[in-house]
Formats: sequence, structure tokens, C-alpha cells
Amino acid sequence: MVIKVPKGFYQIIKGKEAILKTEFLGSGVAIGMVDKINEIGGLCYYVLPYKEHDIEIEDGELVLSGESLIPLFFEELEKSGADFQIAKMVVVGASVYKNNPKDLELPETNLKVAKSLIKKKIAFENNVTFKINFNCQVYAEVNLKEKSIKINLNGKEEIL
Amino acid sequence: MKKDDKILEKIFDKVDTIPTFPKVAYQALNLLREEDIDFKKLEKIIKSDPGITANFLKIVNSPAFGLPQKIDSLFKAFMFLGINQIKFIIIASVAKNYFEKDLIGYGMKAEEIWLHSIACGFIAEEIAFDLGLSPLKIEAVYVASVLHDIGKIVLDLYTKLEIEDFRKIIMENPQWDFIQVEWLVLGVDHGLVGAHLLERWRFPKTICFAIRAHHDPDLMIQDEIASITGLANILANMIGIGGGVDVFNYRVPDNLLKELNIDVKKVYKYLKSGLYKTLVFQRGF
Repeated sequence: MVIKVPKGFYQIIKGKEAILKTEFLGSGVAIGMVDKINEIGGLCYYVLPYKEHDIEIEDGELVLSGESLIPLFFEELEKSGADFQIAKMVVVGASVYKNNPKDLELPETNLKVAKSLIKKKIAFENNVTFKINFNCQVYAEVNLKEKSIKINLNGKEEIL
Repeated sequence: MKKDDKILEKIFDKVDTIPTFPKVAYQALNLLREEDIDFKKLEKIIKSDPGITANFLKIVNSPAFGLPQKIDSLFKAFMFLGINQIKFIIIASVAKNYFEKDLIGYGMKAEEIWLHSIACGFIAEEIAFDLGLSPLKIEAVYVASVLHDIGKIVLDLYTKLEIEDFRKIIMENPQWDFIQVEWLVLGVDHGLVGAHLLERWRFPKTICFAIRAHHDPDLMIQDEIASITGLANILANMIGIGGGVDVFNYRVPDNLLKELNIDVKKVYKYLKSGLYKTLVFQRGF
């Protein structure tokens, strides 16, 4: 089963052999997490950084920014029983143009939000891998069957 | 004859096979430039093309246009819409027919290229409004931003055929941008082909130039319409509306925002509203 994770959303799976997949990330950021022991996988994906960028698409249906989405994602992972100290986490995206000018700062700002919220939650360097700032299209995937996190760079898959 | 000369010849032959920009849309846009607009006449013109009419009604009923009720007739739609919105929807209705097939060589599905084009239109429109452009310039911004990738539909077949060359050259020359790679493999880039197509359709030079320049950092900043088109394309990709094998593999002028007198805060406004409108628009399709 493949579950798509759209912009501003997260998905968490437990004990199911499912795959979570993002859309084309743009300069947005995806955070994938796999806790092999507790068989929990999660993936969240946002394209805009701060709370003021949350969007209400329809009544009550929100597309969340990183600042709003990441704490909810972490909270839900914890409720599901995920152990942040042993889980593998990958931060993917924040793609940039070849010479991204400083004033087009979205990739860096998105990344800054992810870093600061991850730092609050877990020992920073431990289990977090950053796959960021590519000049190509990037997708992220959490595969609970294989207990892996994958990134796809212009069709080339990398297992992390 | 060299291999790339042959490809180039075929590419320009292929330009002739692309259906010309519909006369109905030209007539409708011309009518909308008049001071006193005869909406009955406008309805009659658009109705004469069932394809455009169907697309128009589908687009206008998208929540992105926020109309208070379901619209089932063109005339009713005109009563609810502003002139700029009608122009935008006409151009989008035409563009829908050009972006109906997957771009296999460029690695984009039909709905992705279509949505990317519309997102660019939404973002470019807002920039143009903020900069206080004239109605004629706003119309030019709509055409250039929605049709900026039209050259890809001409080049896609050749990009697909030469995909191994593309991959090899990109791998061997990571410092090159995609324009350089297109030139080396095909002898032309999709901006130039798109501009050539619109020149043949007799669009104003400023629109053709904007399409020509949308990935060229030196050309882009020489003209306001081109700068807006280029920026809208950049921002649409940044919010994840677009993609393809070439995305992000381009250079951006360092002074693009400065040239347009746009500050960082405004950029976030365009990103947010562009994302909102596009996601809402997507719901209608």
C-alpha cells in the first residue's frame, strides 16, 4: 500500500507494511522517520516555514507550515510509541537553484525551522541524516516493509 | 549534415504541427480590450469553440475564483468576473489543450505541467497587480506565464530520444545548467522554441521575449514582463508545483528581486497565495 503525503501534512504508520511517499518537494522539506524496533514509520512534508503561512484550503482543512506541522508530527509519533533515541530520521529537500540568490531564502528558512524543532526534540547529531540543497527534483519515501527511508533524485534512488 | 543540425531541422518542422493559438481566443482578448465590452458578443465568440467553452466553465467553477454559485453559462460567468479574470481564464482554457499529454522527455505528467503553468499565472498575476502594471501588460504577463513552457511540448519527443545524451552530459558537467545541456544535445532550448512558436502566432514581441528569457538570467532582467514570468516560474517550483528533469538546474539572476523592487516579505506573500490558489484550483480538476 502506498500512501501519498501531500504538502503541509504528515502520515504515521504502525505495524503495517506500507509505503509513505511525498510529492515533488520543491524547496520544501520532508522529515522521514523509521523506528525499526517498534515498527513505526512517519513522514511529514511542508513547503512554507512559519505559522503565519498556514493555509486553510476548506473549512477546517489546513495545509500546515513547518513550524505548525513538525511539533504535531513529533507528538503523534510519540503517542504511537516511537522512540526518538533509536529511530532513524532523515531530513530531505530544501532544493535550490544553481546559484540561489540570498533573497530567495525559502530553502534555507525551511531548513532552519526543521533543524530548530528537531534540536528541541532529540540529541541533534545522533540519528539525523540531512539530504538537502540539491539542484534537481527530489521525492522522499518511508518504507516500513523494508524499514528504510529512501530519496529519489531525478529518478535515481538512494536508500538511507 | 551533423546530427544536431538534423534534430534542429526536425524540431522546427515540428513547430508547424502544433495547432495554432485559436482565433476565438484572439478575438475574445481583442474584444476585452475595448472600452465598452459587449458581453453577448463575447459569449458568442467563445461559444463558437466548444473546447474552450468547456474548459472555461470548468475553470471558472474552480474554488480558486471564489464565485458564490455554480456557473453553467458563459454570460453568467462574465457577470461575476472582472475583465482580468476573464482574460486569465481564456488563456488558461487554451493552455489546457496544449498541455494534455505527459512530457516524457522532461519527466512531467500532463497534470503537473498544466498545474505548474496555472500556478505561474496566479503568482505572476499577483506580482503584476502589486507593481501596478497596465491592463495590457497584465494580459501579456498572463500569456507569458501560462505558456512559458510551451516549447517543451515541441522538444519533448527529441528530449526523450536523446535522454541518454542528456543524462551523460549532466553527469559529466554538473556545473552546466539545463539550457546549456539543451543547446549541446538539441541545438536549441525550450524557451527559444516557445518564443519562436508565439512569434509565428503573431503575439507581441514582449511576450515572445519573456518566454525566450524565462531561464536566461541575463535576458530575464532586461524586461519587466520577462522578470515577472521568470520569478513566477522560480517561485512555483519552490513551492513544489512543477518538477521535471530540469527543475532547479538553472541559474537565477542575483538581482531579480531588486530589479522588480520586490522585498523578501512580498516573496512570502506570493508563495503563500500562489500555493493557496493552486491547491484550491487543483481541487476543481
